[in-house]
This record gives sequence, structure tokens and C-alpha cells, in this order.
Amino acid sequence: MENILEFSFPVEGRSFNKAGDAAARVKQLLKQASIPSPFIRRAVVVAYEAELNMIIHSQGGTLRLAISPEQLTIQAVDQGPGIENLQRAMQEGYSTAPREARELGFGGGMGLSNIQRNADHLDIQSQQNEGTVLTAAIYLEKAASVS
Amino acid sequence: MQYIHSVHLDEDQCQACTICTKRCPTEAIRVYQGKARILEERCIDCGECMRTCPQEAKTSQTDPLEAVFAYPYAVALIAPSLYSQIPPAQFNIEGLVDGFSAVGFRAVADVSHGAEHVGEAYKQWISASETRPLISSACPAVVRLIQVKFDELTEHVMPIESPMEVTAELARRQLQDQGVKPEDIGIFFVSPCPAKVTAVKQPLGRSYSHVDGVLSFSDVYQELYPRLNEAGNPKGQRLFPMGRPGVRWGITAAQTYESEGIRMSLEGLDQVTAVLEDLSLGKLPDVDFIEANACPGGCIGGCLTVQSRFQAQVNLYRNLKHLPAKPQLDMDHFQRLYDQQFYMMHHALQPRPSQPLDPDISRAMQLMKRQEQILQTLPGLDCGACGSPNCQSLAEDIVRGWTTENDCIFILRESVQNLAKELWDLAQQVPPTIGRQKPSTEE
Repeated sequence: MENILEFSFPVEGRSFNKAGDAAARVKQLLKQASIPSPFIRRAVVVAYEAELNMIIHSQGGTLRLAISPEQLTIQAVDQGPGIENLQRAMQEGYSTAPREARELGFGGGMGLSNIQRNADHLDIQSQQNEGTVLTAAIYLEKAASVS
Repeated sequence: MQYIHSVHLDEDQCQACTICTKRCPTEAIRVYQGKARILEERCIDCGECMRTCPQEAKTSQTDPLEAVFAYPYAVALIAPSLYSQIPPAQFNIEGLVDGFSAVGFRAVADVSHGAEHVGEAYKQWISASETRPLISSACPAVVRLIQVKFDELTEHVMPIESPMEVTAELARRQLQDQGVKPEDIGIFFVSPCPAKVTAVKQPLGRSYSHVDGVLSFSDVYQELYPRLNEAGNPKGQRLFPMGRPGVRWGITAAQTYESEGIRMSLEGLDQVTAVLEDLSLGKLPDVDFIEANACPGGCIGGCLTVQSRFQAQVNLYRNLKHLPAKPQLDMDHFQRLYDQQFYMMHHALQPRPSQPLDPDISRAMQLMKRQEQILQTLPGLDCGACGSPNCQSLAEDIVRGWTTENDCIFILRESVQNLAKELWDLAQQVPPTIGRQKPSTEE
């Protein structure tokens, strides 16, 4: 039997005042699940940046967390404009954030590269004017690096 | 090692009202069998429950004033916040030493002096360390909050001793230099809060404290106030000079006085918790230093003080005027001590995170699954009538095996309703013997 525990958190677009609520809950759940703290720290960064991306760029979506004894999976599924140029979006400092977000201090262009740095595996599927599905995995066992 | 706390519950006073369970910042209180219980491993001794308990059933365990008389040379280690408790009309720097000597102390050591040392040590550590932001270690309740609830931030805490500990050690050295026998010296901290009581009984970042006992502000105040300006015999001595920068530590926004960099000052556990939550998401990376005090207003708002914190603030500002505006720290002496690592904690602070549901990930996951299912059945009102602070923690308490679903009055009521319906249905099913009689009576 596959041992996976899943949680999902709705995220509203433009809800800057709630930025971090979902990621904070992710942290709480991972602590309860006795995930070692270095993994929690990485998962929380991934969750927070993914949550923030949905708030800044999309019309909203869902942040999902899946825990298994082998890996943590964080998925952000949104309805939105999609990512026009993924390669450039991955570059540090490259940002397409609207002025509204930048004025609030968000959208510095570090989000995706931060996610990539903290995830063992990252997959981004994006459809223009439809939305984006970001899936990031953090492996809990060293042997799992064979992806 | 068993964890020692200062905050205790007086069971005779407790009315099981559940108010404290909701105010506790670490959700460390449960009410069961009609009494509040403190979960020792989660309590940070902040005193929030003492502040909110309408029955005053929560107390802080301090030493009785008589403990002072066991030492031939008792020293009163006084927190800067004490200066906020004396009305300006009665305030006189020498008169305060006289008052303490009349109560039975031979010397007064001002923690404000240690605060000037620590403030300088913070500045040097901020330039030396690459960790950002650094969080002040001066409030023991905040340090314990980090260890317990934000364990991932433990390395952000300044690895520097508290002003209280620094002052106690300096006082001990100075008296020994004067020829006082070490065994005669008894150093008593006069504390505005229970967290500092715990910081002596169970020191942070070291295995022993230079402080021999802790007296509550309010206990000392009763003895001291009538004796202010009344010299004792022998006359007491003041060990350290006082300046405004050090005494200001009693109020928020005084630490790292006049230093460079981006600083943030927080007071009250709501503010502190909100910012720590941000830090653990990696926010605020360009802040250099965070001063965080668990009590609103800073130490003057401690729950063992006697004046309201607003009156205390006015008093402190007025009393400060009698003191020199510049720090009274001898910089050469400071630098010598700093280079000897005098200010450094003896060992790294350890995280003390709350227990996961199970140390094994797979088993913990099973319990979390059940916890989520239970949470779905709970009303989500967070009424606290079950004795847990909210529905989520009740769900957790149930899977931990501490309690059952029927502790929820809504679930209990639903069960009673179902039971009543079942009883009614059963009552309708007449046994055959009675059923046979029935038609005959109706005829």
C-alpha cells in the first residue's frame, strides 16, 4: 500500500496580506510528522516561494503538500497567465511581477531560482493564459537522489 | 534532565475557566479533571497565564525574602525596570541603596550596568557574525519561545549572556577583589518576571548561574518602599555606576543603543510570534538585529511588577533625568573582557521542539491522517470547552491519546441525541408478550 499523506491549501491571487499562511501550516505539519529539520527548512522555502508566485502572478490556485516516508512533494496549481519564457523566469533577478507586487516588496525575481536551489527535483508545466503546475520534490533519503 | 519551571498552578484557586489555555503562546495549557495543567515541555515561563487568570491561580515560584539573611554579604541585583516602580517624588539614587541596606542587603548591583556591557558586546558580535538577523538573547521568555516553537531559528539568537548573568559575575569578581569571602556572597536578583526566575534555576547557554536566588519585585517592593532613603546599618554600597543607556533597557527599543544597521524592536508575544513566523519563512533577511521583549512595554510590563506599565514608563523617564546621559562603561575594561570571551554563552543553545506525533515518519503519518479525520468532525468554533485551546489542538490531543472525542461538547451532544433516538426507537419495539396483550386492551 502506498503510504502518502496529502494536504491542500487554497491560495487567493493578490492576497498579499496572507502570504505565508499556507507555508506556515506546511511547516507545522512537517514538524508533527517528525521530518528532520533541514528538510523542513527547504520544504518551507519551496512552499513559501510557490505560494508567493501564485499570489503575485495568478488568479489563485491550490498549494498541495504530499508527505511520504521517502519524499516531500510540494505542488502549486494555479489558474493564470502561465510563464511566458521559463528559461528566463528561472534566472535570478528576472521578474515579470506587476508594479503592485513590487511596491509591496515582493517580486524580486528570486522565487523560482530559490525553489530550484532547495528542491531535489523540479518540474514546471505551464500553458499560456491557462495556468501553471509547479511540482517540487525533496528526497528524504540520500539514496533517492537517483530520481 | 527534568525541566524546572517558575510558573505554577494553585489548584485550589483554579476554576477551570479555560481562559489561560487560549492566551498561552505555545498552547501549553490544558484543562482536565476540573483543573488547568501546564505541559512542562512547552511552557516558556512568559507569565501570560498569570496575567490573564481571573482567579490569580497562577503563581511564580520565587525565593522568600528571608533567604537573603542566610548570606553575610547579600547583594541585590536590580533590574533596570525597578527604576520604573519608584514614584519620581521618592526617587533618589543614594536613597535606593539606603533602602536596600535597611532591608538587609550589603550592596546593590545594577543590571543596567551589565546591560551596557551586553549592548556593546552585541554591537561587536553583529559586526563579527554573518548570521542575519540576530535576535537579542536578553529576554529569556523569547529565547525559550524560539527553542520550543521556532526551533529552526535557534542559531539566530545572540550567543551572548544576559545582562543579569553578566552583572552577577562582575559583582562577584568585584567583591572578591575587595576581600569578601566567596562563600559569604549571596547574589539575589530582584525580578520583574517569572522567565528570569527560570533563567536562574535553569540557565540558558550555561550550566550554572552566578545568581544565588530570585526575589519577586512585588515581594521586595513591600519591604523596600517604606525604607527608601533610610540608611541601614552597615550602610550599603553601590557596586557599579549607572547611566541612562543601561537603565533604558527596562523599556523596549533601548538595546544596541546608537548602533549602525537595520534594527527592529518588538514587544509583546503577539508581535514577537508574528515576526518569528516571518523569519522562519526566510522573510526580513536584511534586518541586522531584532530586540524582542515578551512583555508589552518591555521589562517594565513584567507580571511581577507593581505599577501599571504606563505609569511605569512615565516614572522611568522622569527618574532617568537624575542619571548621566552617557554610558558609564569603561571601554578598555570592556574590550579586555570581550577578547577573553567573557560575554559569550558557555555552550550553544539547544532547540527544544515539541514532540512529533511519533518519532517514526510512517507512524506519525498514520496519526496525522486520523488527526485530519477527527478535525473534520469537530465544529471548528475553537470554543475551548473541551479544555484544549482550539479544535486543532483537541484533534492532536486525541491522537496523542490524552483525551477522547467526547470531550467536545458538540460531539457529546450529538452522541446523546443519537442515543436518545436509538432509545426511542427501541422503546417502540414492543416485546411479543406485551404486543399480544395490546390488541385485547384496545378492543
